[in-house]
Amino acid sequence: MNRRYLALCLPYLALDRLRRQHPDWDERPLAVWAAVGNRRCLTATDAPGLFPGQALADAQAILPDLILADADPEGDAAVLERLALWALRFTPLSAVDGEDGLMLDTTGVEALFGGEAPLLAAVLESFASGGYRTLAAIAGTPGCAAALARSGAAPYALPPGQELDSLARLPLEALRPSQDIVHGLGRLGLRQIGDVLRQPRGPLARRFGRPLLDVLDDATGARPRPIQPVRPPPVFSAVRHLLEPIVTRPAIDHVLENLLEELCRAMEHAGEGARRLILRGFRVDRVVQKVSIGTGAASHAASHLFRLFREAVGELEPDLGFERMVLEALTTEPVVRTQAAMSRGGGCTATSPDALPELLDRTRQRIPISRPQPLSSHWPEYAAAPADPYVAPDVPKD
Amino acid sequence: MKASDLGAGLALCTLNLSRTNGPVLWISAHAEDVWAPGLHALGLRADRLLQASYRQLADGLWTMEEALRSPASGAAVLQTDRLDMTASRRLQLAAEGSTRVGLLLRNFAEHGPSSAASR
Repeated sequence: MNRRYLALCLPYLALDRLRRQHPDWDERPLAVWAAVGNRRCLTATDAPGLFPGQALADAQAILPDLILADADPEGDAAVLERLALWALRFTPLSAVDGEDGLMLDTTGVEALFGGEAPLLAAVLESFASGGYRTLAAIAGTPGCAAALARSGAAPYALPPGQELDSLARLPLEALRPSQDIVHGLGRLGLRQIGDVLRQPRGPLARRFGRPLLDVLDDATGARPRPIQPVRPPPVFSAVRHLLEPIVTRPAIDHVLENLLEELCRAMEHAGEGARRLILRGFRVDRVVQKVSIGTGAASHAASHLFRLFREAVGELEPDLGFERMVLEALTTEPVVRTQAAMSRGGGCTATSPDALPELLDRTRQRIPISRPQPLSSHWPEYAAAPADPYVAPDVPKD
Repeated sequence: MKASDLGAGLALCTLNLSRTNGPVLWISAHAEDVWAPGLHALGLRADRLLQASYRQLADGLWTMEEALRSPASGAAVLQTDRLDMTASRRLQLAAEGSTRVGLLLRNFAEHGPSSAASR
């Protein structure tokens, strides 16, 4: 079966992200800069007359009212990943591609949008309405789609089987090989992808190594590179919409119990346990109240978590009543199921391994607890230090 | 009250605790002042000790009851200087309902009322 890929390129990701954060900047020129070695230069800009790689001082001389922001590659990567998750609305297979691109596997999806051209238009329109400028193309291989998107041509869906023809006229940079390879091939007079494809593979591999052949084979479809879809984070949350606003403590407790049961079932199914839970109460008068609890060891025992909440729920002020209650597990950790030690004879001495963390969780809601960690010091006051009560300290054997 | 009295009570407590198993919750207004290496030398291993410091006695009493009722703790010690008959009776009931050792360490000279089984 022929696969189809939609490549998105966000050349102004860093700038669009900043403009979304600061709506008051509207159309003023903006640039992002970073220190490269001991040079300060622009990394991204959409201002007229400026280009990435320009020295910061030059840019400021050309446009004195230029808004400058520090480059934040980690922030950009996080936004890109969020966009990849958001693109799951178009296809179940969405991936981050490089530093400024997304790759969606749209095989069989176009039928839902009435064809590939409407699909492409819908994707572009949705990104544009979010304030992100994008370039896009659909093709039969990820490499070809990405190259077409980056070539700057008007977005279009390449009919199947035309990958080689359309690639031949594109500049080599569209495949994103390393700068050395582009420079080296340029010195040989090979500037378009078609020129390189006509060369014998053996000498190319000897001279430029495996990376060049990898990007070429990926684009032509001889050896497509598998995409690594992002996985949506498991959401552990439970919601109750209430017909009548609730005010009384027993009613809140009852809703909380139901929410905890639902959440704990989901967490148990996923093999996770909550470390931090938050209960949000949406009041009738548009005020949101919240209480949170933390556990020392990941737990998905509804009864235990309910006991922890019992103290905290008293701080909620229902006033006119809650009409919606949401319980979320903010932090979860995998829970390793351990078999309780087999009890011999009496059985009253066998305790479950969760018992101590549960006791500590409960008591720590009210008073601080610590363990002494013996230290190797001859000064009595330095011979022990308070430590985390959930972890057994190392005690030297006598 | 002389300082040596408290020391003697402490030693007696610790010797009692060294014969139990499982974690020991030491509840006191200044639990961090409990010197773990000293208890270790008396037979209460340092990895069994958990120190809980309360601000208000009500919290300390609640913790003591929780510890006595929980299957996880091996024993619990409550160090306090003021305890009325009601609280003492509650603790005695909690201790009777479990198999764990609960000890009260009271450092005041005129002994108030107490319903502890042995004193």
